[in-house]
Amino acid sequence: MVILSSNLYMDKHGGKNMSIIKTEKLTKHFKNVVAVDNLGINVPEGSLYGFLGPNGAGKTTTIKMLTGFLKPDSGYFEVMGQKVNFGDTSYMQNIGFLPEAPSYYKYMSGQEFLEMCAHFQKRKTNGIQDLLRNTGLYNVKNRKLGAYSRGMKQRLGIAQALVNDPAVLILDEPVSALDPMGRKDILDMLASLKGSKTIFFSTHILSDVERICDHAAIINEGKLLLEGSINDISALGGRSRINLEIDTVSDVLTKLLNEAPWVQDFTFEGVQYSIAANDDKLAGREIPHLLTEADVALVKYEQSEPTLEDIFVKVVNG
Amino acid sequence: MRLSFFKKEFYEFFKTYRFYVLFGVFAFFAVFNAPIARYLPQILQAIPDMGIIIEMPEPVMADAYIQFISNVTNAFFALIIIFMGSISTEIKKGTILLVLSKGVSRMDFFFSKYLNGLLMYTFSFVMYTLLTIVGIWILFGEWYFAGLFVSALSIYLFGLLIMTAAFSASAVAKSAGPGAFAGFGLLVFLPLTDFFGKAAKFLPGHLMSLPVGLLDGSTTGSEIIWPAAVTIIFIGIMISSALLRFKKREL
Repeated sequence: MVILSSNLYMDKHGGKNMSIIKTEKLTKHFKNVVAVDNLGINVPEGSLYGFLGPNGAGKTTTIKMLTGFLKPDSGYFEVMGQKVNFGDTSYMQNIGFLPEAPSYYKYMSGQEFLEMCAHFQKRKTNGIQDLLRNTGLYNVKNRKLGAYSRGMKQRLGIAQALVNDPAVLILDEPVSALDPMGRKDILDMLASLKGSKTIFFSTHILSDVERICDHAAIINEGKLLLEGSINDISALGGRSRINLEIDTVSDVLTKLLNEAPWVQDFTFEGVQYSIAANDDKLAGREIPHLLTEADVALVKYEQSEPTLEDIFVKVVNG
Repeated sequence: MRLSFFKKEFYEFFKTYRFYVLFGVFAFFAVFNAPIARYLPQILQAIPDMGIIIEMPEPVMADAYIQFISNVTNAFFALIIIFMGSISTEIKKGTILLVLSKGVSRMDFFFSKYLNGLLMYTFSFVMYTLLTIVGIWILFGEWYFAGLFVSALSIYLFGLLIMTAAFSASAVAKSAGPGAFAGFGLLVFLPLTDFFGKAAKFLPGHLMSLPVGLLDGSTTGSEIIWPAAVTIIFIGIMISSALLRFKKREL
């Protein structure tokens, strides 16, 4: 397990921020299967936190414990600085929750459902029209939920989680059922809430985390493998690589790269080279000189950063 | 109790037609209680001669009340079917998660459902009784006998016990099956306890035989006290143990 940040972290003004969700040694078994194993995570206040893991990693079990639907076998967790006991859902008043594959009362319309949620939380219903607009459901607000598509249900799930204007959003696979456009809309919406709310969302879609999150954790088989800020996690992937394609095979270029002090390592196959440099800026300046010296023409130049997927595969495979 | 969830449950009974089904079944049997008693001899005489001579006495008001007592069992079937999945269905579908995540306590969830059920059943049963009385008055010209209200109360409590059993099982079970088993099991088993000798008079099963005794004058209304008290205790035990189990249940 790699922890790249502690539960107290420095914000950009130098002040200390507390973890809004914190778990310690959280464990849950289902018969002989360990679903969550000594999990300790810290979700900083105001962060957009991606909870990553392959299917069956224990993401939903963790979320169900955090929301009071499952009882941990052992361990401890607190939400907004308050220790939570199983069955006590009073703290949920300040939390928005979206379960995986949300299910609704089919006889209600989207608007009626949101109004009901607002009444449960003793909130006024005047923000509901905006929520319907923001989640793209305004035109189908009077349609019965039995006739909603999976994507619409997912959008309504996001809307109901926001109905109480919560400080914390806990979302289980919020964009899994959406088409690419719907996914973009919802991710943009979550990104727009960054800073004003703490958003904890589970997913197995790495690009979503890469796109909007500032913190992430990777779990597998119930165990925390990695946690930290996206920048810190990205740094684990190593240096970026420069990919070159030239017009003809050149032993001279290979020899020059071997001798260049700024080259950390490189691989090549025919006319294609993959170079890791000690200094990317210097490499950008030096490569044209080497190409001229080797008397070859550049066909393609590309610089690739290590992706979260590379890191994910690396940590999940140990 | 959070009134907003109680209101949602009340509204749901109508939106999902459960109230209309429950009321409709009770009303259907209520409407036929008096006519069946009044015209049964004519109906039997109309059956083609099969070599059996059936001699029936002239129907009286008591015959209609016998129908009232026996036909209510059919309506209890509908009662069980409607309540056997009250909570287990919400858990199975997952609708309970969004409700509880909005701060509705499990206790509010449980009692809102139970009290709405109680309300729907009480209304349906009262209407069953009133419609039967009206039918009897129209066809027999009289409707009152001394033990009428105690009889109705006795049958009502028996139905409430059946409903509570089905409902309570739904709060602890994974599907509607155990609710059906509990409801139908009690409906069949409890009347058999009337053969348990001296103890029978204290058991809930006696609530269904007491009205017949009141009708023919062989028992008095005060005999309801023990079986009614035992039934209410049973209801209390079922509700409190189901609630305790439901509060600790993982979802």
